[in-house]
This record gives sequence, C-alpha cells and structure tokens, in this order.
Amino acid sequence: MQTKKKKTTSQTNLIDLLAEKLEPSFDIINQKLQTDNITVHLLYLKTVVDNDQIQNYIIKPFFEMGSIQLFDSYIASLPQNNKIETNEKVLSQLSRGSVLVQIQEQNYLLDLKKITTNLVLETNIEPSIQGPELGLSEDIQTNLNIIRHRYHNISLKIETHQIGTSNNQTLAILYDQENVNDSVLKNLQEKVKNLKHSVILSSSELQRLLNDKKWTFMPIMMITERSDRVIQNIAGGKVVLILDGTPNAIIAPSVFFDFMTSMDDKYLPFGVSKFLKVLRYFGLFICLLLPGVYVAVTSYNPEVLRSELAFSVAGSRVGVPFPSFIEVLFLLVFMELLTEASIRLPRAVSGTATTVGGLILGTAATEAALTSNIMVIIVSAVAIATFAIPINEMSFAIRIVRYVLLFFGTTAGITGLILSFLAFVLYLTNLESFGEPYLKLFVQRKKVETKGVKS
Amino acid sequence: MKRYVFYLIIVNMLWYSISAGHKVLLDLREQGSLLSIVLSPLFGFMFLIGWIHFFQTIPGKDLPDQLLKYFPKWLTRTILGIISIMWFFAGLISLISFVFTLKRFLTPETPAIFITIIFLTFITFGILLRTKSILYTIEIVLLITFPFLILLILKALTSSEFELDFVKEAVMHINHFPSFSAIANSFYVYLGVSNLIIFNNQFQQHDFTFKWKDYLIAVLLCLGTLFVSFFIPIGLLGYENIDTIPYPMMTASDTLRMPLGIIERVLYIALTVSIFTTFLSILVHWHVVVQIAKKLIMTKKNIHQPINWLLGLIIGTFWIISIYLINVINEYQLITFSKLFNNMLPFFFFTMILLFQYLKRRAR
Amino acid sequence: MNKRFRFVHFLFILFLSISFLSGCSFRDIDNRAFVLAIAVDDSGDTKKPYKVTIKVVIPSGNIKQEGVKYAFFSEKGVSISEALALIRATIDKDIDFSHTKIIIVSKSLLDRNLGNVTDFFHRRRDIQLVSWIGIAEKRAKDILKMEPKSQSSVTTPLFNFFSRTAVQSPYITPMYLFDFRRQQIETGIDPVLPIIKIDKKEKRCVIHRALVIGDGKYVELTPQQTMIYNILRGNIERFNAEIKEKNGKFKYGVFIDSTSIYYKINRENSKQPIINYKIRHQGILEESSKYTESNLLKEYGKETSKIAKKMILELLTYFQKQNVDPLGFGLRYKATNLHTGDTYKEWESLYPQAKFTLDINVNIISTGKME
Repeated sequence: MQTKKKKTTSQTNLIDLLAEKLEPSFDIINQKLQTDNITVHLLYLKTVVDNDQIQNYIIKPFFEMGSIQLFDSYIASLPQNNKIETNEKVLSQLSRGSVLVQIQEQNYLLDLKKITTNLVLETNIEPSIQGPELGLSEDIQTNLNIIRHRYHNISLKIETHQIGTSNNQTLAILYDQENVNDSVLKNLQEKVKNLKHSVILSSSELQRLLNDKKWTFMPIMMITERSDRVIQNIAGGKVVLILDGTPNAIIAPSVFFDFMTSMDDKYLPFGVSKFLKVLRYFGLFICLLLPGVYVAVTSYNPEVLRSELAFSVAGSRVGVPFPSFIEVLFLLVFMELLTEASIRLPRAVSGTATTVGGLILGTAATEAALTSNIMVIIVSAVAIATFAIPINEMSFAIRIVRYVLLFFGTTAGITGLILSFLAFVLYLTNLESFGEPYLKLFVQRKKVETKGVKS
Repeated sequence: MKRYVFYLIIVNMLWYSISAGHKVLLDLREQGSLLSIVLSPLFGFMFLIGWIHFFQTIPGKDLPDQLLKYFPKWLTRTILGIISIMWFFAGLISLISFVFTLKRFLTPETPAIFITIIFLTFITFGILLRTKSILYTIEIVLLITFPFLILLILKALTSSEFELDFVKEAVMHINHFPSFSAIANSFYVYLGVSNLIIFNNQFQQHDFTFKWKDYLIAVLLCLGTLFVSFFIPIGLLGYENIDTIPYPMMTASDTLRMPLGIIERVLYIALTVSIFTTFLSILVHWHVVVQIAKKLIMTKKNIHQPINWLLGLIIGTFWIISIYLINVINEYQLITFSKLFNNMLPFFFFTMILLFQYLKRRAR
Repeated sequence: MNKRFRFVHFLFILFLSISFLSGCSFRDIDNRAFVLAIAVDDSGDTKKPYKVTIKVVIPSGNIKQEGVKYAFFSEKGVSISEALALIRATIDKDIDFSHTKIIIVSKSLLDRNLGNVTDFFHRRRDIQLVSWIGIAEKRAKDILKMEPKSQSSVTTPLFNFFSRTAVQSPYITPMYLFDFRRQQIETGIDPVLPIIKIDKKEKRCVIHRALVIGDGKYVELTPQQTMIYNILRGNIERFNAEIKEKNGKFKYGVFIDSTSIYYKINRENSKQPIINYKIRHQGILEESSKYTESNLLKEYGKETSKIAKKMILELLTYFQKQNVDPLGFGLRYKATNLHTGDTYKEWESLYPQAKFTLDINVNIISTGKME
C-alpha cells in the first residue's frame, strides 16, 4: 500500500471534530454509509465537490464491494488520494473540495473537487496572428496541465504556496531547474513567503506586492495571458508565478526588451519579424517624443522644420487661443480619456464611443479653432503608436513618461527634451528586475556578458 | 565587455570634435597642426598602452582602491584630490563651452544660466547612479546616435560644396614644425580611456584584455576623428576663413542641406547628436569625481549612507562654480582657458603613467 | 495618506509651473513673422546709407485654397541691424530669420565694401548659411516685390531659380552665403555673384549675368561668359550649345548631358606656368537646320569642340587680363605646392604670365529620335 495512513489518537473523532469546526455552513455534509456490518463516514462541502464523482468513486463501489478490507484498499489506491497531515491542512483541503472518508479507524482525503472555471480562455489582450489562440484558464490545475503538456521536461519544477492569510489562495511557482537563475528564484520564494496580505485576488495585485518600491511606473514583472509566452520564458530560465483564480501568469525577471517582444516575432518569418520590431521601436519613439518635439519645435525652434512645413504649421495655428503645450496637453488628455473609456465601456458601445470621440471631437475642435489640425494628426499618430507596444503595462508606463518629456520640452525646448530623454534612459539602465539590469544591450551571448559584470 | 572601454574612448572622441580642442588645432594650422595630428598616434599609442596595461593588472579595482592600499592616507588624498580637480574642470569646460554653443545655435533667447541649470539638474541625477548604468546608457545612446553620425560624415564628404582644394591647401602646410599646443590638443582625443580610473572596477579579468588589434582600432578611431574634425571644417568653410569661426564643426554642419529630408538643415541633426555626446562626456567626467569622493568619504565612518552631506556639498560646489562661471566668462576666455588646460594634460597624464608603473612595482 | 496627498500636490505644482517657466523664449510659431528674403539697397541718404526691405510670409489657415500672402517692410538705417530694429517696431510679431533663403544686395551698394554688408548675415546665427546671395542690377526691393506670373511656390520665387531643384539653367550662378564668404576671405579665388534683373513688361526675373568680385574691383560677365564660367566651375553639367555658321545663321544645336572638367597647373617653366585644361563633353544633337547624317557625328563633335575651345580660351584670357581669378587657379596653386614661402605671392606674380592650353573633346553620340 503506497499511501501512508496517519494514525492519531483522536482519530475516531476526527470527523466529528472537523464537522464541529465547519459547523454553521449550510453546505456541510456529514454522511454515513452503511450496509449490514460496515460503516463508512464521509465529510465534505457540497458546494465544492463533484457529486457525480462521489457517486462513482465512493458510493457505488461501496455498495458493490462486499468486504471492508477490499473497499479500504480500493479507496487507498485511488489516484485522488491525498496525504493527511494536520487538522488545519485537512480543513483547508476540505474547503477546496476534498472528501474525507473514514473507514473504520482510517481516514482518507480524496480530492474530488468540482471545477467550473477550467475553461481555457481565448487570448484577447495579447492577440497574435499565427500563434495559439487559447491562453490560460482561471483554474490553476488546468493551467499547470496546459504548461506541463507543452513543456515535457523533468526539470520543470512546480512549487505550490498558499498566499493570502484569509483566502489561502494557491500560488504555483514554475521554473526549469536546469537553467533558472537561482538568486532570482530564492528572492522570489522568500518574497512569497513573507507576503502578509490577507486577500490577494489577482496576479497584477500580487505583482505589485512583490515589488519593493512603491513609486515605480516601469513594470519589472510581466503579466501575460499567453501560454506560449509562459513556456518560452520558462525555457529561457525565468520564473513563472501562477495564481489560482486568475487567467494570467507573472513572469519574473522581465526586462525592457521583453516588453517590446510580441509572440508573433517567433512565428513570423525572420525578415518580417525584424521589420515589425523596427516598426515597434519606431512607434515607441514616436509615442515618447512626438508631443514634446511638437512643442519644442514649434515654440522654440521653428527653423528645424522645412520652410513649407513651418508655414503650414503656422497657418494651422492661426486663431488657436492656447499656447502649443496647452493644445497638446488638452488633446492628449482627451485621447487618454477615450482610451480609458473604450476599455471600460461594454464592447458594443466602445466602438461608437471611440468614433464619436476621435472623429467628431477632433474635427469639431479644429473647426472651432481650439486646436490646429496638424495637432490632431500628431495626437492621433501618437495614439496609434501607443498601441504598437505589445505589452499593456509598458504602454501605460510610456504614456506616463511622455508627459514628463512634454514638460521638459515645454520648459527648455529641444535641449530639455533630449536631456529628459537621456535621463529616462539613465533611469531605465539604473533599474533592476530581481538583479537583472533592466535596460542593457546584449551584443555578445548572454553568458559571456553576465560573466564580466559585478552585480 | 571590452566594448565598454571603446565607448569611453568614443565618447571622448565625439566630444573632442566639437570642443575647443579642435578649434585650437584649426587655429594653429600654420603652426604644425597637421604634422602633430599625423604624429599623434605615437603619443596616443604610448598613452593607451600605459593606462590599459596598468588597469589590466588590477581587474575589478579602481585607482582609489589601489592607492589606498599602497600609499599613506595623506598622499592618497592629495593625489585623488588633484585628479578630481582635473576631472571636474574637464567636465566644467565641456559644460560651459557647450552651453555657449547651444546659446549661439539653438536657443539664443534662453538665458545661459537657465540652460546650465537644466543641464546640471540632469547631470546631478545621472552622476549619482551606479557606474554600470552609466556604461549601459552610453552604449544605448551611441547606438541611437550612430546612424546620425554616419549621415553627418557622409553628408559632409559627399557635399558638392566640400572643396577639395581647401583640404589640399591645408595638407600643403604639413611642413611646419608643430608647436607644443598643437601636440597637446591633438593628444586630447586619446584621453577617453583615462576614465578607467573609476570605470575599471566594472571590468573583470577575463573580459577586458586589449590585444594589439584593439589598440590599433582605438588609435585609428581617434586618428580618424582628428582628421575628420580638421578637414571637414576646412573643406566646407575655407582654409583662411576658418580663423573667423568660433564653432567650426557646428558652422560646417550648417553649410549642408538636405533638400529632400524632413529636416532641411543638417545643423539640427549635428546639434542633437552633440547634446547627446556632451551630456555623456560631462556625465562620465563628473561621475568619476563623485566616485572618487565617495571612496574618500567611505574611508571614514559613514559608509552606510550612500548620499551623505559631504557628497551633497561636492555637488553643491559643482552647481555654484558652474553657475558663477557661466555668468562671468566669455568665449575668448574660455578658449584661452581650455587651451591652457589642454596644454597641461600631456604632463599630467604621463606623470600618471609613472605613478602606475610605481604602483605596479609595489604590487609585485 | 499624507504622502499620497503630497505627491498629488507635487504633480499639480509641476503642471502649473509650466506656464511660468516657459516664459522665457517660449514663443509660439504663429507669433513669429518668418522672413523669406532680405533686400539691401542704397538709400541715397549719406547718414543712413542702408535701406533694408524684408519679405514676410503671412501664414493663412488654409494654404491650399488661399495660397500664401506676403507683406513687405522697409526701413532706413546706419547699419542693417539698425534698420531691422526699426522694422521690428512696426510688425506685431517677432521677426524670425530662420527661414530666410534669399539675400539680395543692390549693385549700387557695391561701391561700399561688400564685406561689411554681408557681415551681419554671417554673424546672425538664425540666418542660414545655405541661403543664396545675389546682386540686384537696380533696386533690390523691386526684385523682392516682384511676383512672377508662374509663381506657385510657397517660398520665394527666386528659391526655385537657385536651388536647382526646379530650374536648371547654365546662366544662373547660385552662390551660398557661406560659399561667398569663404571665397571672399580666401586668397586665390574670387566669388562670382548672379545679377538679377527685372523685366518689367513681362513681370519676370532675368538672371543670366554674373559679377566677379575681385580685389576691390568688379568684373561683369556677359550671359555667354556666365555660362562658360558655370561650366568651367562645375556648377552645371547639362546645357545647350548653339553652333552658327560664319554668317551668323543657325546651323545646329547640341545638348550636352555629361561633362568632365579637369585642369592642372604645369610648372615646368618656372617663369611661365601652363594651365592645362582637359574637358570631355558628351551630348546629343538637339536641333538642326538641315538633315543630318549619323556618320558625320564625329565631324559635328570636332566642329563643336573647336568653337568651344575658342570661347573658353577667350574667357580665360579675359579673366587673366582683368586680373581676377573666379576659377580658383591661385587656390589650386596653393593646394599643390608645399608651403615653403608665401605661395600666394608667388602666384600673384606668375598669374599674368600664365598660358592656357585646352584639350577639349565633344562627343556627340546620337542625333536624337530622328536622323
């Protein structure tokens, strides 16, 4: 017999004890199965267990089998059988959908939970053209199943932790033992152990809690819904955290360039993916710099532009009552509102909202001479460029940084703009994600590069 | 990691091509500038070997570490004090002369003091960061500016206004014996590697071995810079006219047009690139000062505070001196001063090589 | 709570402070009056000799439909900067020279030292060094004000003449401001400026002559000389040449589409340098008064060469006689001789004795679409 039976002195009354502890809940079932001479006790929570499974695995065999020994060894050899450790563990297992079976003096804990959230969701935040269309589900078992099924390697280790002192959520830490960065792993394990929050609901909340610094806007862990990204990162030696109940995985450490890669880069032909990459970085620069450049150039150095362009910008600004930076701020803020609104609104309405906001507001604002039409072009170019950044957290961060650059572009012209851009680069290079430099170019192979640097 | 050493050289090189150094060299074109440029690889090579060899023997350490190990405290302090003053002035000259350039070319109506403050704000932010992140930043910025640099050089050399006769005329003056000033100013371009006194603590043994090929590339890069910064202004602005131009490289870039480009005047590309490189140059120089100061302070009790009041005091001094000088100094004084400073450099750096030899012997 | 509040405060102050900080030198593009061209005239007044006229573009909200409007302002002054300062007081916007493309100086001002006239333009940082400078035959102001029939350019019409993006004529001698300056300062080369004339009847500019500005003297070139100068200087590669018969009747025209010019100063004779020109033209027949035969193409080429040789030699000796050096022989001499003494002095004494030899070959490769 492989499963160990745990004998405690209070074994006979374990069920009663636990039942007492669970008492006021309505869904507690303390059941007694009886034939002539055999009695078996079952204890479970009706709402989390699968009734069919109880019927199939426990009740039916019970009445079909004659002797208690046979039934005992049958229950003990069921794959759902779990170890019984302490009473608290048993309780928490019960709350997750286990069934406690008492046969004579022995207790077995069978995992017969009913999962209603194991539907694998379609990816909708990071869609791809040719990659897998399904992402992760909201159930951790399903997720681990998906990942195990796509990463057939013994070195893939899965540790589980319970986090949240109140809701005891399951958190799985996944890594490939062979190429994981040990210091990052240890760091993460420690941080997870030290989490003192009572309720942790989502992976983004967890990600924020794992971050030491409060005022950061650059993401140093990546949240993804794509299983292929998870697999790729595990293979690349990163640590993945999956929290039960959320369809997202956290990948750490994540550096700047990770946020600029889309999974399609792997699936598309080499030349195409390089072109898309260049395009994306171009978008990044546009999104960061264009509003600042507009203010700096039109208000400090119009000579930078070609003459024809300068005159048409000047012409389009005729009658606009605000200075250029108010104009930019005004439109940018409206654009942010539009983006925000189209996220919050129901899908059916959001399309209309964007059209109404974008088109009508833009045209009307130019007609009313509140902004110049070139400004509208610039802001919409910026908005489009923002969406070219594949990971949302990065595009949020860039959206914020853009205002800082706009500020310095307004106060000190081109000089201020360039210097603040440099300061942004300095800030990024100074940032670390679990000991990995956040922004660093790797010209040589990574092993060679990391060897030479004192950390 | 060898490439980071090259970046240090390149930053200094790029800064040189817009600094007062090349202006002085152009002014001295009838006093042997060209010959001193041609001869400069000799000194440059000696210098590079002297420094890089020494720092290769102490991987992962910097000069203050080494001095503290072998010298009494007072001597260490004196030497480091002199070094940090030199480095401070190198950064200061970059700052002031570039603020003047900006005031002349980019924002003539903005008060110089305001430009200085903007620069100082960002530099203060930068120099307090980790040494490593400065190296990474240099790499990224050089990567961004590289295409523009190539564009600038190609544009200048292929311009129909680039008159080869002026260049040839300059070449015909090769027979003048170089004056000391000319030699000193052409020597300046090789000095980028001197920042290793602090940056060396980022490099470990196995990844920082300069072979003869690397020395050759470094020397050729510097020599190329000297030629480019000497001949492009002459070819575009005329041999005799160059005297009358205070910022030859910038003015030369203004003679170029991109009739089909988004930006028509090449000057603005040149200015953008030069803001990048100057900022990096000041950053590197003053970071060295700050790190030396940190090392000196660290020998005292207050190790645990990364930014303590003494460091604050030093940076405050940077601010006060820069803001004071920007108000009193004029362009002519600046050129004279940087000429003086550049003339002093060969003595200083070859003395340092002697110091290194001594340290090497002690270490053995 | 307190901390968060402080941050919000900080953000608020940051954005408020923009409006104060940007006070200095923040000037919106619509508050600037872009000067397209500057004309400097002799006012005739001895106390205030300069009369400066500027052409300012008035941006309109709808360039496509309304086109561009211009305004002109002029004022007299002791210096150009004073005149401009006076103009500044008459415009409700800030004068911005950063898009100035054309500078025209009237010929009558040349009697004063032109170096002083252009000094202002070199010194000001916002005037592009790549703006063009030209000479007005009579009043520079009129040229500025003239709007030719064919105008469609947003910038000033002269721009198209000089930039060579639209007009490619061998008679136009474009001269950049910086080029003018370097040739003026440099010994051994003399700048040549285009002369702009107005055809009042036709409402158009005529630019087909040029002015050599030598050491304190001006030599005016005829249209033909201007063309040859432009060819020799390498300003133009493609041009037409008309070959006439002895009685002046048109014989045939050649269109040259590629040119290579090379010269060398031969110093074998130390007293008399020989300037060796080597010119290769390639072109096609463009117009002919009678039927041509393709086997005679070589003959045509030879004939053309002969005529060209005569004209070029004439011009070169004319320059020599006038003791001006717009082609930069002195510069070339300096550039090819090691600077042991004062090379330019040597050249000054050698130039009048110099002899020109010409090796010219016109290769006509086609008779065009028909024979």
